Amino acid sequence: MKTPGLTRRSALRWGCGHCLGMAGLFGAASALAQPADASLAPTSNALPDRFGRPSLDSDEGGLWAMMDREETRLRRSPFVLRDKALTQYVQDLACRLGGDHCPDIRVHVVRTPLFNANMAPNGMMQVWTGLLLRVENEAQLAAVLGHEIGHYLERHSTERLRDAKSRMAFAQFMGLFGAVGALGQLGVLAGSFAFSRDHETRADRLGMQLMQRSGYDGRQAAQVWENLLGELKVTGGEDAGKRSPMMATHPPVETRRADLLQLAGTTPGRLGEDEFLKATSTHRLDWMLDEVKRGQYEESLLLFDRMLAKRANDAQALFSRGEVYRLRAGPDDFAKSLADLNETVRLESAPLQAHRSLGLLHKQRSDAVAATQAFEKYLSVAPDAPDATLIKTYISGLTL
Amino acid sequence: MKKIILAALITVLAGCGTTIVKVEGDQLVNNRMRVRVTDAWNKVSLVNNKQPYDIWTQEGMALDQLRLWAALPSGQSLVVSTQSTPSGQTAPRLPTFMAGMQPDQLVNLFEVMYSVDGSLVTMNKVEPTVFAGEKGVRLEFAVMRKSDGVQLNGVAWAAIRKGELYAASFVAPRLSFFPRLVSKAESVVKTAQIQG
Amino acid sequence: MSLNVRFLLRACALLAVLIGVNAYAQSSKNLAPGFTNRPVNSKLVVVPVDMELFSISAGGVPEPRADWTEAAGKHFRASLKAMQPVFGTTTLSLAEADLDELSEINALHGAVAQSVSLHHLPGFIKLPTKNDQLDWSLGDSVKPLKDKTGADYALFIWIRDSYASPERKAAMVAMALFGVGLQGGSQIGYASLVDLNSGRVVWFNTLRRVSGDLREEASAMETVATLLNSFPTVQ
Repeated sequence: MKTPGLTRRSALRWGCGHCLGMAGLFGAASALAQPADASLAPTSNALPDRFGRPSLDSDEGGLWAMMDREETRLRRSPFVLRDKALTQYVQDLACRLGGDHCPDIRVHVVRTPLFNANMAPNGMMQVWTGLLLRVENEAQLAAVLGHEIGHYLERHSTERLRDAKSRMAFAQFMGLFGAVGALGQLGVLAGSFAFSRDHETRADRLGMQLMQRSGYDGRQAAQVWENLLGELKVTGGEDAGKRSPMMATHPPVETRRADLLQLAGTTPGRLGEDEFLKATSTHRLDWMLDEVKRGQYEESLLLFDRMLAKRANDAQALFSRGEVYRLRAGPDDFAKSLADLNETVRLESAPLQAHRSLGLLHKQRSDAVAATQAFEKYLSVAPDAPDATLIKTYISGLTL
Repeated sequence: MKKIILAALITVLAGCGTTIVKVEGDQLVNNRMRVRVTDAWNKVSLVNNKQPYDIWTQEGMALDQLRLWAALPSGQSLVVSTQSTPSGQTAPRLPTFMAGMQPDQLVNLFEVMYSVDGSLVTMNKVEPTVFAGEKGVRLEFAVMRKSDGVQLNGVAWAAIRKGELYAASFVAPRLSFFPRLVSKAESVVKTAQIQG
Repeated sequence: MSLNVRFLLRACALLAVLIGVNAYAQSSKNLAPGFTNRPVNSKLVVVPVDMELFSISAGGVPEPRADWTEAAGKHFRASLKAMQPVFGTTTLSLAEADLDELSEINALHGAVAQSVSLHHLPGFIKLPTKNDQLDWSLGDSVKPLKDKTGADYALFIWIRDSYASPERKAAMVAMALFGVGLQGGSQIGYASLVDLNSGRVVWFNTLRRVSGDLREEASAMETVATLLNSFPTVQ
């Protein structure tokens, strides 16, 4: 079988003695246009063996040791979630996906309202809460974690360090002979991005393999990117899907979605929606409010719209969307906010702050009766609210 | 992380004419708000990063910061972005003051402003107050700083007069620094008077 | 000569240098106003050094070097040990694991050290109210560190060190022929002595140079000696 990726494979062999087992993968997977190959089906020998600690004087050893120190710092960071149950849930999933590499993978959940996950060469994995908020089920989370494990298994970080070094050296010597200038440097940089894009594509392949062998529906990997595309377009413009976002090394989102669907094929699998929602339920409102605090209203609306399209009676998402409309305060936002918040307080698990927000809306339109009612309800359920004093002055101002 | 913040600060401060001057006695913020300073502060002027607020500090930018806004017009953001937006793309939203904002909306402006770098903001107390002679709002909050994990406490004041925003906010590490310095910030703020 | 004797001789030479330096009036930039020496019976705790070493590739990409960092750590700790006579009779060390529970103080100290570096020493842009003095304090936030160790002073050290690889050195030579100056390696760092009873930073020193080498024992000693130049003795 034709294997256009042969040069990549030899580079890998140079960097990774264990990777011979993956030869079959690359040979079959290199031509995107071909339908998903049966030889891609999970086999017990598809993954490399566990990595021994690289020698201290190697470039890989240097990265590894530095990441060990970074991990020590990360563990001490107040941003790391201390919730053992949630961390264990994500850790268990990473473990299942990583197979024999499970003992080497250490998950840290970081409270930041952006979509991100990464894995360092020493096995340290970070997952940001913005990602946990955006994926809809265990399969989608598995897709992202599997992708990161893919980078780890193929030691892409070390390759990129080596590549960066050789490209920078090349650029420098190009400059030496006067060939520098926008064009020269652009060529070098473009080459650098393409190399990394290659990494991303391979990580997608490997991630798909890992998630499918663990029984998840591979098409959910494409869904992750479809969901993200809308948010990217808010600032990135309509072309965001075709272009790579600034500073990102990922392939354009629209290409990636199509490729992932093709990779997934027709293999059935589970979604794991209930397990995922159960594991994240105690935190979701906090994460939604973190998202609202970003002040990026259009992106937040897309996210909450998507959540509510799946589950119309998600009281927390309804409240959060109502908040976004209220805070954006655009021309038609008042009515939308009111509708969302009125609906929220009808639901069982309505966040307590919904009454406060209703009070604020009514106050804005000088509806004293409705405002007072809502504020008093809020103070009765949340007497120690941070703004209790302020709300009380609102009430006395309204009842004059 | 620490290297990043230091490098960034050095780049911002040490380059191109940034100055720090001592401020004491009567001071004017944006020609529209007068404050009286008994304990001297240091006022930082960033030439290549002009913000719509004055920056004052006691112990240094990495530790405490007092920001002062005066007569910020409706439609202006509380902070200005330093990054340019590539063509075809839209700039991210910035916390923007609008005349007619209610106190709770003013509170949200500060929440967003201090979150913009990935830091986590928690509101602890919000109450009505008088600031610069106008009815306004005072807030106490906490910030978990993203760049180095230092935990800060903060206090802010905001009021609107004739459709313009007058505000101040002070943050410092919650251990030792904030308790020690907040009274200095408060003593400046309570002398605030709108001019014109 | 055996390794131990050589080490000892070097340590003595180092000691002589330090004592010699300390015999002269201290630079007021390094010392907090009113502070000159540590009291005789005071205890000092040395906080685990925060150190990273990099090799700079031909094209200028800094690459972490675990073997160098590990060697440098060893040499650094040995050099600190050799400073025992200068430090005083009771010097304690804190384990890396102990920093877990002291992480907020450590982070706070990092921010203070940044402020001192930026505004005082080297001092890229001064704070007028400081009147050119080393006048920073962590206040009572250091109490948990004092309680844990029983120490009266804590020494914090932070170093980032990079070295030009042979390829980089070759590139430097080649570029120099064309009149282009490339940066080789450099050492940057600070050492900070905090009085755990008051929280004051009583002594501070920085390192900013293009020489120095922590990877070899002898030159590591020299780096330590330079960084801890004028370190306050006991009296």
